[in-house]
Amino acid sequence: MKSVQIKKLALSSIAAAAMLAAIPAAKAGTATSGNFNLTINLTSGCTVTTPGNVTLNYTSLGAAANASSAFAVTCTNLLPYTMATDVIGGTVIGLNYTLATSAAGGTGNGIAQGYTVDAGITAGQPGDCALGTCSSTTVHTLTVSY
Amino acid sequence: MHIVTHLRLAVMNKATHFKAHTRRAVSVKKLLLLAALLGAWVLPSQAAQTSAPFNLTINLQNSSSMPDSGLCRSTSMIGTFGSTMTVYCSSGAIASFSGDPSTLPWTTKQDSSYRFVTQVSRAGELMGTIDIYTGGTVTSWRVIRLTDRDYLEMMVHW
Repeated sequence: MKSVQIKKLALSSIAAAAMLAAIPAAKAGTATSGNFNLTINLTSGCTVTTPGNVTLNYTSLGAAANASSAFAVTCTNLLPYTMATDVIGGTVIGLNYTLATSAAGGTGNGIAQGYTVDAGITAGQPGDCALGTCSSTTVHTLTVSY
Repeated sequence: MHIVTHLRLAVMNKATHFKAHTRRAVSVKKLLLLAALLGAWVLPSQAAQTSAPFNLTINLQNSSSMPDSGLCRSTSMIGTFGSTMTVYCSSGAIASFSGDPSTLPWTTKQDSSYRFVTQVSRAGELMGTIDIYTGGTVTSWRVIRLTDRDYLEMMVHW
């Protein structure tokens, strides 16, 4: 009699276990997965701010004059670049001047990097001026290549 | 019979010519496509540029518009035997000094032991005289005459 009860108990336990085992399967459902590619194409680039006006005040036969104007170059990280002005010098109102950037180039770091455009006139030039003062403005271009 | 054969040959020649023409057109297309692909591949590798314009202004002041003080001065901070300096005067005002003034052992200063007074003439009118109080030696000097002004260049050696 006792063994029959034990058997019934064992059967009940097995049935309960089977039911418990069936529950998670019903909750999880069927899962499947697939791979996909994410491609990011980065086009490197640079931006440059416009330098302010560069003004040289020079006295005829006087001392050398120099002037600078700041600009900033922002380039993609690790991107090398070069900088140059359209000319390295010229002559206006009889004065020979030089024009250059403070550095020939650099490597981008993602943030603005400061440089200057430098202009100069050597000492002792007479210049051409029929009046007390003369002035000349020329437009130049700063180019960043990368 | 001979004529027919000749005609057939002519027809065949036309067909062959058409095929060759078609083949040539395809080759040209292929070449164009190849060139386009090559261009597309080459272009990104070319250097890109960005630029910004800026103005360069040069203001020139004629030295003749400087005041006619008729006086050029410098101090006698000697200590560099053998050094030479050049003093340029324009209508009596110091216009420039040769070399880098910061490296010269003197500065412009009134009532110093070195005193240079320019002799400047303009339109026949004497503007000043040369008056030197110095322990150095004037090795050379000259008056440079320009159209609208004269100025004195003096070499002082000590």
